[in-house]
Amino acid sequence: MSIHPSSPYLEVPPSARWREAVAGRAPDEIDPHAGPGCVIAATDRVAAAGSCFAQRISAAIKDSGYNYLLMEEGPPFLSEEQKAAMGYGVYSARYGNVYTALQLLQLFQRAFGRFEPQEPLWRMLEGAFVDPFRPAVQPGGFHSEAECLWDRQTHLQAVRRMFETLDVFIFTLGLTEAWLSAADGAVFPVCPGSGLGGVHEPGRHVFHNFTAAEVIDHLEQFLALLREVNPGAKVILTVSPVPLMATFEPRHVLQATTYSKAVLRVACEEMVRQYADVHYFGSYEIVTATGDSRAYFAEDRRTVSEAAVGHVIAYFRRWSTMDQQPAPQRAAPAEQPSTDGETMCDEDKIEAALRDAEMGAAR
Amino acid sequence: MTGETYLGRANPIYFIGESHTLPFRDGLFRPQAPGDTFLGRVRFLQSFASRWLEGDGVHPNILKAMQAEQLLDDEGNPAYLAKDRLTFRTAEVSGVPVRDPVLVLFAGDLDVFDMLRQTGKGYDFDLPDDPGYGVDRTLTPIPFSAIDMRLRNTFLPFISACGRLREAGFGRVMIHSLPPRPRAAEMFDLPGSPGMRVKLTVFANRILRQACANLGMPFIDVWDDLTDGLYLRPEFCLKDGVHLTRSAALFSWTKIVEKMRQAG
Repeated sequence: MSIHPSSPYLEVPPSARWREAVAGRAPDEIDPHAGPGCVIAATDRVAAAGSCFAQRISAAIKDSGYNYLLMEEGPPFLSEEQKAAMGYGVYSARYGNVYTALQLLQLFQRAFGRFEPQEPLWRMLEGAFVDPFRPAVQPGGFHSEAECLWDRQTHLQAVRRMFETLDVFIFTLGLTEAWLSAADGAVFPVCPGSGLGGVHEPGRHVFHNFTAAEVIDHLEQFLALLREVNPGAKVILTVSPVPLMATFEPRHVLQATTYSKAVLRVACEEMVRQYADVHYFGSYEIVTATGDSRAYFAEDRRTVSEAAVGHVIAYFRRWSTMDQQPAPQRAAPAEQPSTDGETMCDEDKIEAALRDAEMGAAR
Repeated sequence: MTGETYLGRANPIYFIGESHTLPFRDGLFRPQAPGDTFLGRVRFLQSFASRWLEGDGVHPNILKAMQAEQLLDDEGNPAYLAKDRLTFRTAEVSGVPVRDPVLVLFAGDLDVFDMLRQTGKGYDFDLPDDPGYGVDRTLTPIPFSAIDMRLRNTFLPFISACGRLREAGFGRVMIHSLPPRPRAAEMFDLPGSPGMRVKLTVFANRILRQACANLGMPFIDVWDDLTDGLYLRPEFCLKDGVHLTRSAALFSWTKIVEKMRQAG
């Protein structure tokens, strides 16, 4: 059988054909982009937010010579490691991990005084105060309600300045499952009572798994608000390749993960198709779909390896500049997960807390 | 003889550390209750801060200062513990009993000022159990836990060194508080915001007081005597806004002698 000369597939580029673009290629030779992406100039002010994986992106962007915005630098007398342990410098502002599109939207709304959640401050078991919208940024919590609220107010002022002044905003979507306040729909990064403070109350805190339509709506609202205050801002969306630590849905965590990532990927695609100033970078494809999961995930099949991050960043550089960068180094064999800088993952903390609770019950 | 008077002997009290030792230099103090006269022997360690440990031991600069005052012998051991014939003979001839000297140690203020220099005037923090200083919430907050961590780490070498001196046989070691701060901070071109400056000092003293309690060591705290409850009274403040007058030092002398007598 031979293909007819009228077939439109004869005109597609090599990147559109699996046999040429993927089959037989080493993982680090696969670039899932069909052309240059969002060009970031050396002077562009770049800000970042997102889920745990976004911390790896942020760290690499900071080290790669981009003009990375840092709105909350932390106490000058602390070392860089001490600052990072307190959430300073992990992202462009001290918001901690932002897992969902609604969380991003509400962060913006809170920073501009358009939404004031009713949820009171959480308390840790030891009595310290925790900001429910960034429970992990202050290890040990704040010693008083006044201190916590003051820090939050200053933080939101910094977030506002960030959105007003950035040129490029990189957002890594991580989850669709979330816990919300029944009173006003405020979304929390983690479930109350999961080890980072707060008490879960079934009437007050409700579970929700966002649909593609909802994620799209949240992103659209965010983009509209961003354009109001910063019309020239470009947005880069990416999806975290890190599987769910746990699901609250009555299904296997693998299915829940696939659903979440599919929803987020669809939402990103809708944004890119509708908005010229929104771009998608394929870190999800790079890490999960290059076919060599032994090299790109640790044995837990969840922690992304340094080789994978290196691949992501190398192609991000190529994708975001006009110049062709050299091809990345061949991926190393399966290696230990990176402990460089200790990614601040709320889910890891919750998992540890759950294990401790289980061990306590077993005794 | 044409009227010369022998005034008796003054017992030395050794003040070692940063510049707040200086008001005690060569000072003679006689408490109200009849008893001994005391002489201030000062070893001022310029720009030394709280780094009183080096490796596993007390910093050589501290040891040299103590050797210069003949508090340590050539091997670095407490001189008064040398149970040799010369030591006892010296005591007999001089009329000075053999016992552990009184050491009043000063450290921490340079470290506080170092933190203030780094933060500049744009920061403040919430002090737990604030006695009334308040907070300037127009400034950028520093989480109290960051202050706590930094000061405790900074003071650890000094506190450890004090403990080692006690273990070595200097049973009459005392730590002196950091001085109170003046209210009219704007008169002095000092680093840090006024709130940071005074509250850092208050918290630093809390750490030092607790350390003394843990070590079973007296803490010389003159804040009640020198302040209006919160700030240093102007008559006790030198023009630099940092150091205290010799008249302020009288309160320290009184407290030191009280502690000595309580300890026996």
